[in-house]
Formats: sequence, C-alpha cells, structure tokens
Amino acid sequence: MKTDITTKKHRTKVKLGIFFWLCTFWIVAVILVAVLAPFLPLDSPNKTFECQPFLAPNTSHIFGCDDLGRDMFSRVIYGSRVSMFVGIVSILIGMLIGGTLGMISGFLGKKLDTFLNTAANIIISFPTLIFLLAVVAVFKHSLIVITLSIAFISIPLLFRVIRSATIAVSNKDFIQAAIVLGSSKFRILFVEILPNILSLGIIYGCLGIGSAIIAEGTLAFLGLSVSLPTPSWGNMIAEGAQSYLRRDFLITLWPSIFIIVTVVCFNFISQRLEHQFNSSDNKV
Amino acid sequence: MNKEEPKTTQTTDNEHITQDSVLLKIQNLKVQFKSQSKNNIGVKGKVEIISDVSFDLKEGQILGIVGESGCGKSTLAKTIVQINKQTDGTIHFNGNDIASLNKSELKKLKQQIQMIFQDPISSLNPTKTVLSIVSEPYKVHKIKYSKDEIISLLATVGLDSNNIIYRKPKEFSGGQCQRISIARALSLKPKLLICDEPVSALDVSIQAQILNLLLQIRSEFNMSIIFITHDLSVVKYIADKIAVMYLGKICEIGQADTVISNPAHPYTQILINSVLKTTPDDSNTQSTTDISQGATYIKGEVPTFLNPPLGCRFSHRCPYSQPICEIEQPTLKPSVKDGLVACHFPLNQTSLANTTKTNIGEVSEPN
Repeated sequence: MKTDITTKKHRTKVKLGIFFWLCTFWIVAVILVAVLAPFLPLDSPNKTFECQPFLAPNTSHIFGCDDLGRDMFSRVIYGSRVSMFVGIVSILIGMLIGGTLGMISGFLGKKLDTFLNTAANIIISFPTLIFLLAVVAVFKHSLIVITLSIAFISIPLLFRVIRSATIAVSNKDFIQAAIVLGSSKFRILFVEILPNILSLGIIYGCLGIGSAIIAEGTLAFLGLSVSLPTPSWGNMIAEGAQSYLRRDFLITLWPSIFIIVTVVCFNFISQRLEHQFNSSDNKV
Repeated sequence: MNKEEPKTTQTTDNEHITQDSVLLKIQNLKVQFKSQSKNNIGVKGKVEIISDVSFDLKEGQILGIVGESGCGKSTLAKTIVQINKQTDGTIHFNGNDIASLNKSELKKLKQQIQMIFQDPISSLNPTKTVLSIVSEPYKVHKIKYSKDEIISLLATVGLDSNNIIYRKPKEFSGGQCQRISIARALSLKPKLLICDEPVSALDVSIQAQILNLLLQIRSEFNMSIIFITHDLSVVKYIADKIAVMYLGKICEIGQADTVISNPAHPYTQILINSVLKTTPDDSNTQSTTDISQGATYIKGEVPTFLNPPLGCRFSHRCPYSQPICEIEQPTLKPSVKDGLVACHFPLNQTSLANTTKTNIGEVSEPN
C-alpha cells in the first residue's frame, strides 16, 4: 500500500517589498542610534548656546539650533531614547501580561474568562488620555510611571486580541488530540497554541508600539512626560509650536518628522507582516 | 489488492478474539451537558447526550458505531478518552475504572487509548513539522525515541520518504494528513484506537486506502478499534461488531454480518436501505410505507435532546410504530446470534424473509 509522496508546494510567499525593508531599516537605525547615543560624537542635547539660537541647518549643525542654541540633531536623537523606550517597553510589558492572561483566559474559559473579560472591558471604557493625566497627576511624571501607565492601557487591548485568537485555535482538533495524548495544560498552551498565535502577537505588538509612541508624544506635548530639559519628541514639538512656530518652524518640524515616520513605519511593518502571515503556510 | 484479503484476516482474528479478555467495558454511561434553552416544561436544564449506553469491546475487535449526525457518537468517543466527563455510569478499561483514576494514572492510561479525528487538516498543528507532530507523544510521556523510529512509523502508515519529516501539514493532502494522524496515534502502541469518522472528510478512493491501513495495523499491533461513522458501507467493510445509535441510545448491537444482513431494529433497516445500491436494476425509490419492502426513507425530523420522546426514541418516525412504543421505553433484549436490540417489535422475528434482500454499497478498492 505504497503511495507516492507528492507533497504540495506552498512556497509561494508574498514578497515583503522594498518599503517593508526601508521601514525595518529606519526602525533598526532609530533604535540603534537611540541606544548608542551617549557613545556617538554628538553635542550634548541640553548644553545651551552650543551655537547661535535659531541657527539654520548647516554642515556642523545639520538640523540647526533651537531657541536656546541647543543642537537640534542631538536633541532629536536623545528624544528618540524616551519615545522608543516608552513605546517598546510598555508594549512588551503589555504583551507579556495581556498576552499571557489572554492565552490562559481563552484556553481555560469558564468563570476566569468571564472575570478577566469584564475587567478588560472596564479598563477599555476609561478615556485613555484622562486616565494618563490622572496617573501623572498623582505620581510624579517620570519615565517609569509613563511607561507603566501606557503598558496598563495596552494590556486589555492586547488581552482581547490574544484571547480571541486563542479561542479560535483551542477549537481545533489538534488541541483535542493533545488532550488525548495526555499533554498538560501548560504544554498545550506553550507548545501547541503559542506558535499559532505568535504571528498575531507580533502584528499587534508593532501596531501597539506606534500607538504607544503617539500616547507618549501626546503626554509630552501637554508637558506631562519626562521633565524638561530632557528632550522627548513630544516636548520638543510643544516647545517649538507654543512659542516659535512662526519664527523657526524647523524646531517643530524635525521631531514631528521623526515621530510620524517612526509610527508610520511600525504600522506599515505590522500591515505587511499581517499580509505575509495570512498568505504563508502557518495560517490556522 | 485482493478483496478477500482483509476478510480472511478478520476471520482468523475472530478466532483468537473469543478467548481474549474484554478490553473496554462501558456500563450505563450517561453524559449530560448544561443547556441554555428551555425544555418542554419550561425548565432550563440538562440535556442528556448519551443515555444509558452499555457495551463491551474485546481485544483486537473492531466496533463500528453508526448513527446519523448529532446522535451522540462523537460525544461517546470523547467521553471514552475523557475529553468530556461522564455524568453517570462507568467506563472500565483493562479492568480499571477510568473515573476513579488520579491525574498521573490517567496520563499513563492515555498512552493506551488514542484517537483519530474527522478533519485531517485541523487535527495537525499547522506550525509544527511532521517529525515534531509524530514525536509529540514520546515527548509528552517522556519516552526516548529516535528519528529512525519516527521514519519507520511513518512507513507503517504508507508515508515512506525520507524528507517528509521536515515538512509541515499544509504541504500534504487530506489523505496524507490522516496517515500522519494515524502515525501519531500509533506511536505509543495503544491498545484502543478510537476513530471519529476518520474517512468522512476524504474522497472515496482515499477512504479505501485508510480503511485497509486500519485493518492492516489492527492485525499488526493487535489493537481494538472503535470506528465511528455514519457511512454503513464503510462500517460493513471494517467492523466485527456494529452498534447503531439513535438520539443518545444504542438501539441495536451485534455481529457486523448479522446486523447488516438481518437488522432487528427498524432504524437499522432504514439506515441499511438508504445506502445507494451498486447494481443498476435495484430500485432506490421505495415507498416509505411499504413495509413488505422495508422502508427506505424516514419521515419527520430527529427529535431534540431537549425533549426526547417518552417511549421509544424512534417511535415518532418508525413505520412499524405501535401505541406501546410511544409510552414505554424498550430495553436492550437479546436478538439473533448474541445481538441485542432495543425494540418492542424487533424485525427479525416478524419480517425476517423480507430483509435478507438488502444490499449494501461496496467500498471501491484502489488498484
């Protein structure tokens, strides 16, 4: 009873495209520069009168200088440290807590699921900005507080995505087959379910990082992120926009470009990955 | 392949089966689920999907369970492998009561009971390679294995190619996926294999290959098989013993040949008559009421589990129904050749001559 093993070829993956790689390059570059900023030959971002105030871009100060004569280029670079840290770390925390709870809740179901889902609904129903304002009003607005409060908001959103994906996977026969084999619940969760929802986690993680960067920027614009003079993209926009928009719009423009390009890149990467995962072999 | 081959192995097996012990003994099994809808007296309650099912399965025997969709066949299978818990009754496997086992004992027992599912694609994890799927049982039970063992196991189920172990389920056809499923189930050499409609999702030529494979591994590993299907031609081909289920109850159980050639329960007869004939001169258009020919079609709908009929569960649709059928539930009583039938007016006593004519569609063979 031999049969020929002619397996179907499913290797026709959709190409990611040049824009995906450009976006990835940008993100990697921003992260690298942010991490390595103290070791790079940059002017101090907070040293005033490094150059002429409102100096136009030139060869030694390629982004020009702001109202206090600080080098805009190094301020933008140092600003990315705050934005990227808040964006990535808060989503990592959110994914770790929200994702784990979502998997457990979706797989075990019953009362735990009802409880966690209700809790998630309550948290989602808070107006995000009001919540963030309340938190930074109560605690001092340090980097850690901002990161944790944005993480807290992202938890229920990521929880929901992961939970519904887990429920969809849990209904597949291979989960029942694993139960019949005698696999423990822990093993089923991490060996059978996790690889199937990982792609979704990455997609929503990238989207989430974009949103978290925007959230931090919003807070910083309102003066509620890291305290001045530490630069962050949001408070640089605020500084430039509130006083000097007419005199020197470049002060606002540089951080704006960085924030927009970075968020667009994250969203684009997320969208391309979604497309890729949906068309690849691993689709559930 | 020669048509006679599986038949001969079947008869030789039957001879030594008779001395062998009972592997699985199910007594008065009941499975209830909570219901969200109300029943006829307006109470939100429980639905009994399996009510009072009892049967024995001997070592090396193949039991076919037939019945239409939604009669509780799959629930029965899932209860035996303890995906569902039973509400009442006992399941004895190898003399041990499954319900009384603790966690580690149950895990050990699960090495001996394995299951194959209906949808071959859905029963394999799409992110894993074939190697990792088939070796999963060894990892779960912490048994050492080698890659060669996996390859030879895959060869047993007819997948003998070296490079397939690194491929993923999406690269295989339905029949190949079902073979991988079977290989996974066989890896721990179980004593009982439960097949929940393993061929229903496959096309007919592949069905025959899988059925022959199951017969072949039965004789190779001497395992018992519970084969669940709604396709009588399949069950006739593979089973030693047939149980017919209707709405959560067994209405007839007996030797496969007897049940098929000489059904005692009207429902069994209708099921058999509804199989399309293979010879062109046989008419498929029999009247529903012509009792002398044996009814082909059933009138009405399957009752819901929420409001099961008071008497015989088939009474509303049975062409031979009498007043007593709607009042009193029939119990399983001995029928011809140590079969059992749950009917007040079993057919084999009254219309034996009429039902011998039945003809079942044969499973077409490859090659």
